[in-house]
Amino acid sequence: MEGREMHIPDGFLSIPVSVVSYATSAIGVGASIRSLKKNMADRMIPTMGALAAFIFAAQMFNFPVAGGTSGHLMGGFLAAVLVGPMAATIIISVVLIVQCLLFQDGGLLALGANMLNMALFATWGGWAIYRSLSALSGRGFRWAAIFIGAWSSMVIASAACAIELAASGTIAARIVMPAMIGVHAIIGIGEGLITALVVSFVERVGVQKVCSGRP
Amino acid sequence: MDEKRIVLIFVISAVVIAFAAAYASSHPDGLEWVAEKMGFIGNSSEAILKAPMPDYEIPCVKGAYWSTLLAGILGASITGAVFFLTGIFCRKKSN
Repeated sequence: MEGREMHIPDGFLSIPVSVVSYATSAIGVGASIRSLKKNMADRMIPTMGALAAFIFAAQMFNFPVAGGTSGHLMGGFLAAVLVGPMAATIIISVVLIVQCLLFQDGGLLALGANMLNMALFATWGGWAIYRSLSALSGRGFRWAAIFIGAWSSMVIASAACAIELAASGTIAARIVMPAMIGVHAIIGIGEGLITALVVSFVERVGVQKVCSGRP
Repeated sequence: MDEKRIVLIFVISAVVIAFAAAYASSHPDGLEWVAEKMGFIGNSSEAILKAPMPDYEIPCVKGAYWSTLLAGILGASITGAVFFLTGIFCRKKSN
């Protein structure tokens, strides 16, 4: 593994963990597609496509992080804020499938886990935190809620990945959990800043409400 | 119309980022760094599926900059196309 490959590769996860995560993410993605079919206008599909293309490109751009590591935008939470969490789940899933099949970024066996962590857990976890913070603190704290939601999405994905690695017997949970969360708590700052920047830019150029399909 | 504007913004941004992608940090990312530090990076096996453009480079294109740039444009286009084609399909079905 070198250079620009960054999702879970083949060999890190056991077969049972891979199978369970494939099944779970299939259920989650299936539910999102069904809900979108019912609630979303067809005219939103090009917006989802453009956002997916943007997130694909943004995921190629690793920014340096303290201590000789790097991180890149994950984008699931960003998409959730812009077009709703259902559409965000589909967007990140398509990005991950293209990355896996065409660019060998993330193993085919690990694709279910990568989708589970980033398209589902990160997106929905960050979204839930963002919504509860917004409800608690009102609109004045919206940017804090966006930053914390994005940061949390990164930390949640890393914790889920650590659990899968531990469940696979690759490494002990008490070792990998603090290490994964520690690094991604720093990378998450980048996720929070970029997310806030993109959302504010989109709103500044006059797009007030991107999606009608928000819950 | 809001939707047209946002599509334009994201498509242009994707292209701009693709031009910058060759200058991205090559430090290991979070998972890779942890895997190296904790000693399980060696568990990484040969990928079961040989992808046509591993590591975001097009094998037949000479020069890392152009190779990464084209891979980025191609990847972003294919990702977007999945949705645009789905959109066309949905419209045909509803007509």
